[in-house]
Amino acid sequence: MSVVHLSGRLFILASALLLSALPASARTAKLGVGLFAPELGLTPYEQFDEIDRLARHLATELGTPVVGRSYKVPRDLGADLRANRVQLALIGGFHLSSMSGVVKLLAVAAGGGAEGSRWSLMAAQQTNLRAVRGQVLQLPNVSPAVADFVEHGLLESNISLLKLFKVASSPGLFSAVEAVRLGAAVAVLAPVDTKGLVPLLPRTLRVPPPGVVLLSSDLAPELVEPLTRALLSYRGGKSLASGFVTGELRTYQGFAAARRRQRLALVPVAPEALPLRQGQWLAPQTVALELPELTVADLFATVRPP
Amino acid sequence: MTAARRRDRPWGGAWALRVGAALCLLAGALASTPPARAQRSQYAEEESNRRLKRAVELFQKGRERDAEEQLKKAISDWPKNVDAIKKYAALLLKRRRLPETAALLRRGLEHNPRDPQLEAYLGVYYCWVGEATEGLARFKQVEPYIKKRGAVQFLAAECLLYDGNWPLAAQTLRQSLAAPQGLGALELPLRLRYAVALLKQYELGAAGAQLALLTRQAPKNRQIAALRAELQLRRGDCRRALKAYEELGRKSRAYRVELGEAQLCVGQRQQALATFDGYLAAQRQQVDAQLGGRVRYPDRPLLRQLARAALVRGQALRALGRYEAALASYELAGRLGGDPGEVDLAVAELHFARGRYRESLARLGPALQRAVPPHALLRLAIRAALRAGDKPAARQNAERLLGRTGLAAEDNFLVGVAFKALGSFERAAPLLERAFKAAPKTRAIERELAQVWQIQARQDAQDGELVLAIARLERLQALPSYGTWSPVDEDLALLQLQQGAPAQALGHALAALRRQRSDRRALWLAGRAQLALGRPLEALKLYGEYSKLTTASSPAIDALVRQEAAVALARAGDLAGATSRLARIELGDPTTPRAALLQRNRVRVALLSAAKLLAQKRTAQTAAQLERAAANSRVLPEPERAALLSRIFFAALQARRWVEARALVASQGTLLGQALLEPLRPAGGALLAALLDCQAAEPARKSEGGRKLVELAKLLAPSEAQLARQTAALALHQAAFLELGQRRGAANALRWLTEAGRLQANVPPALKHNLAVAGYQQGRTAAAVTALEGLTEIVPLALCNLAAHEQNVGQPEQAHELFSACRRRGAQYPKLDAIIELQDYLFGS
Repeated sequence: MSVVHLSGRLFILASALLLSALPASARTAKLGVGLFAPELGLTPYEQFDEIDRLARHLATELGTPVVGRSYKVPRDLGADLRANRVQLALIGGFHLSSMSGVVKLLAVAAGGGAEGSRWSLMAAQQTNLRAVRGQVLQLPNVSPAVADFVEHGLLESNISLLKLFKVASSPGLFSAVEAVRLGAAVAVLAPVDTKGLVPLLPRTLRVPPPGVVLLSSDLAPELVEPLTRALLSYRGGKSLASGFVTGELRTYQGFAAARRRQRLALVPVAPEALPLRQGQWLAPQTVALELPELTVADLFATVRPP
Repeated sequence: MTAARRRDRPWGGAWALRVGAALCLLAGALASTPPARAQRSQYAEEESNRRLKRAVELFQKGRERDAEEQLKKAISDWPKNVDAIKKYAALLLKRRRLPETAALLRRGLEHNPRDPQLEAYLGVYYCWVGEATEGLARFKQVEPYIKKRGAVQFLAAECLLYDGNWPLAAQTLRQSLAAPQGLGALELPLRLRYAVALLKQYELGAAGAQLALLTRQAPKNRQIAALRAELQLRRGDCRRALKAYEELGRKSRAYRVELGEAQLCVGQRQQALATFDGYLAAQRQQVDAQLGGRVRYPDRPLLRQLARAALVRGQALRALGRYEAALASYELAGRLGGDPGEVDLAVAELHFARGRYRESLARLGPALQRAVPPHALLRLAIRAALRAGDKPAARQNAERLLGRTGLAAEDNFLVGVAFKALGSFERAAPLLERAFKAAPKTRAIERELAQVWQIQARQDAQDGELVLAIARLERLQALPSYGTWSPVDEDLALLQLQQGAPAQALGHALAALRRQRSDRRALWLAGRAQLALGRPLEALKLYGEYSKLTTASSPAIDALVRQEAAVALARAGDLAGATSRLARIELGDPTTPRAALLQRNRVRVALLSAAKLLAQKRTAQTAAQLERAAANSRVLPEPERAALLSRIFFAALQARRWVEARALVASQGTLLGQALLEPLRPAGGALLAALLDCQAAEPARKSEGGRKLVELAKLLAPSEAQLARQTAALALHQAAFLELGQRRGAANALRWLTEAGRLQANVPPALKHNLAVAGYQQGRTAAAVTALEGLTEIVPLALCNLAAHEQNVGQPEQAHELFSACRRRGAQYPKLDAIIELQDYLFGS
């Protein structure tokens, strides 16, 4: 065996060893980042643009290829997740609160503020519930449980949504709002600051902002921190112009309760007062200084003649 | 007796003349009596009668000695010549040759035993020798035989006046003058004597009446004029008396003693002394004879006059400050037979005036032994005894004087003063009131009466009879000098304060201040009244005025003012000032009530300061202040201390200062427990601590508090005491209440509430309610709903809970109605308003 032949075989062996030492992601080479946040009110193109911008940023920061994927329905996101085509995703507050399988919350969108935005049933004009009863309510497809959020969160389980409205679904907030503006629906679930609409209910939902979550536990742990750092340094386009901040998953878990049937607690009454003797609960003001007693006999004037 | 000497003896020398005249009258009156039928020889009888006739002629010519010779011979010629005997006896009586008179009269009576004239002469003799009783008996014996009206009465009156028995003389004369048949020519002399007797007895009103009658009958009579002057002198109208005596003195040297008295009375001491000296010098022989014991039967009126002169001379000397001479003069009066009572009184008065009270009292001793000592004597004896500090003597003499009738204002006053000095104020008061009523303008009486009332008021106050004390002091307001007298107003203010009438007290104190603004006592009382009326600022002004004065004041009141000023400051809101003032007051003996009060006030002011700081949310200072209050309270008795600590504790609780309150419980828990939950002595503090833990709203402590509460309940539950079981139930209830507010606490809560219900005979509605809530949370829905439905009338929150249940079972519209009713009942349910607002929107019309 010649030296050249030997060195060629060594190269192949070394290459094989090196390849086996790389992590799976490195091996897959592509990191998938998804986007499902209909409440951002973006058009499909804007959604794709936004996630592509984020993917490119992450790729630059991490030095690894990142693919951005935009979803219309959560089901597609789930399918890609199961196929390991996406490892992390930017998900809207509604869906993020109700979904399972979240490994870690990496960052939350800073644009809507740390506390998120207030949502309610919005109408095109000032009206009341009795007037719009039986008409079409447009619900953006922000979450599979969006109707529960409205019925139990906004209406506090007082009344069935289907008894009040004909419920119609829209793929996104943009189209749902447009349906109300165009008169196809009388009301829509939308942020209270939506231009041209007025609240129909006296109650609002405080929806947490969209968050970037790690969905796959396969992602190498050493990548989590660079990934978070990269997210926090991101300044996006239209909807994510303010970038991301750190957040807590508990906020979303708390909001998740809003989609469950409201069950009111029975409240105990305070026990009776202590059986203390009367007059002991004295206000400080009633504590008066005592005047010295007059001992009349001692203080009588010396008997003096007139 | 010479004419000059007679003039000098208005009642002495003249007396003999008057008696002589009376005897003449008797002679005339007895002319019709049967003549003596003695056997005599014709010649002797004739010769004797001739001589008798000759003697009468000589007597009428004033040749008494010749007349006496003729009478002697007439009797010698015929010893049974009773007429001659009578004439001679009259002459001898006139010349006061009393032994001879007695012999002659007895001889005459041998010849004619029942001769009324001789008996009358013998009566006169007895009067002159000092046996007035015998003399009066003789007069009584002859009265039926004497036709001349009033003659015997006249003799009797003269006898009594000679003897100086003024009361009997006055009585006799009064009866004589009242005789229905009248007295004829003798009425005037008898009335004159009656006036004399009255004057001598100081019955001045009656004497004045008699003199007025006499003056109308005989306007120019000098004796009557002299008596008028004496009346004026006795009445104190000395100037007119002096003028009258001076007028009389121009025509006669009589009345010199009275003149001297009048001079002394008007203050002419030297002149009076000169008058007395002149008079006594003129009477030197009489005086010497009397002092030498040479006079067997003294002329009593003259002697009285001499003694009177010596006595009044002594008074003149005393007035001039010549005490030794005055004393000698008094002693002379005594030796001259002056009234021992008067002499003793004068000497005693002299000693009294010189401050020799013991001597004065000693001098009065013999006089006081007499059955009826004069009022003046008793008065002086009382005064001397009081000054000498001889209380038994003062009391004895005061009682004697009080036993007399017809007491003058002066007597009542003096006895009242004596009883006052002896401490018998109850007896002194009515006497002084009587004296004051009789002499309302006498300042001395008013002063003594006021003092007695004041003393009585003080005693009443000491006995706690404040109403009586006030009534007594208010009587003082009727006294004329009340307006210038502050102490009464001050004492009234003090009593009214004690009575709880500060407005009236303020009135009195201000009245005293109007009189004297610098009266510290009145300033204090006014301040105290203002303080009691709830005007601390006004009180502070007065206390400030008090402290600026530099006049002496009572230390007791100073101490009071310091404390009261601190109280006023505290009540005015200046707690820092009050604290500072109280700190400056010396505590003294800590066991005294005043020290305890000071401590209490210190603690209270610290407490008030703490409350103020609490209101200002100055927690650190509050804690320090509370600590100081607690530290000071340690010197107090335990009950007081416990009460104060409980006050501090509750002040902290009310200010919701749980940390401070808990610190107090930690340090004084047992004591607080005693104060608050007497039957739970050892556990009270722990219970309070547990409750505080719950109320402190600290989660960590809440669970600890709940645990302690359950432990406590285990301790208390076996007790038979109702309060202990009630408290145990409450502790369990409180613990359950805490558990119900927590997740998964319903099981414990249900167990504890069940136990709490078992401990009480009457389960409280709150407990029933919470039992239902706990049961609901444990899945006993139906039973809970039934229980809650039964409680909706008593526990409004039950409506909310029922509403919550309806909501939970999908009946929001029923829930809405119940929630609305619940809110109307004022119950507190979490987010109730928001729930109802939404439901109103959803289901409202």
